Amino acid sequence: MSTVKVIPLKVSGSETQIVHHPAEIGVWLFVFADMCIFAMYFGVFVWEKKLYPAMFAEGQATLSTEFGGLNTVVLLISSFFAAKAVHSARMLNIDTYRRFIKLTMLCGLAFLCVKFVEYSDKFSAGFDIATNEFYRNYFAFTGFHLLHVILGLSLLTWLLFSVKTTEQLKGNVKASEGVGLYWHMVDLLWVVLFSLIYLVP
Amino acid sequence: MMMYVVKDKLFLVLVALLGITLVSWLLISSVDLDEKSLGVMILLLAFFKVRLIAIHFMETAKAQRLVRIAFETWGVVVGGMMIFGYLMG
Repeated sequence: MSTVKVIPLKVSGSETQIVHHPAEIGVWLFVFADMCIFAMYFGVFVWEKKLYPAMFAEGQATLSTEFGGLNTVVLLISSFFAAKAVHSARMLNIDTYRRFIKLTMLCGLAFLCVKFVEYSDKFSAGFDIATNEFYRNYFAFTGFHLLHVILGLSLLTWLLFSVKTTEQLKGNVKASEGVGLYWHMVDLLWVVLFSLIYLVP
Repeated sequence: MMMYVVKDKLFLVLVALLGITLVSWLLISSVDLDEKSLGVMILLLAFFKVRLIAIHFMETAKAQRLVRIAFETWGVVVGGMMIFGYLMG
């Protein structure tokens, strides 16, 4: 019969402080660069809204704030789940981690479904990217954001399939933080897009 | 259980974010303000949500100093430029 010795770890003094920074600096740089690209899109939208106020008011009136609002709620909840998944990863709690990754993905898929219904609604009403400047901006910016959601879902799927044990989780805490960070950026950008395109009169 | 949920900081942040979203929604559907004031209020609320997401979900508060500065600057510059551009329109 084997015995397991538990050796208590003593930490003496308070001079040594381990500072943990979330995610790799490269991921932060990538996320920040992406946010700067979207900042330019926001600028283009505000500028063109100034050039064509009547067209933008008419276009905005055809949008569904219910769909946009629902997607905002869905993404905010998904971001909460992603933050909880990262927290579980640090605690090396594999079951909770995988549960929160699945819940994040479920919200991401719900976002895709709502977007699909919304786009279908617009196409069947005869609106597309070539209709006018408002719809060009609407489809280009929300479409580019949608690609980010799809990439985020792909990364979450990769985490779900590659991290199944505590040992695998130990080696993937930074990767989980990176994917979580990317997912929060997707949420953050949608918060601005929703306010700008659907709400601001 | 209830106390556990209330003590969960991330959950409280989520409640705040959902509450602000609801306020923005109510502003647009029921408040009788002039267009520009309404637009500025909605943009301010949006960038407040951005800051909550950055600090609490993205954990910029725990990140390197340069990251914190970059994200705070992004919020101020982009939010400020958008509000300025909107008011000029």
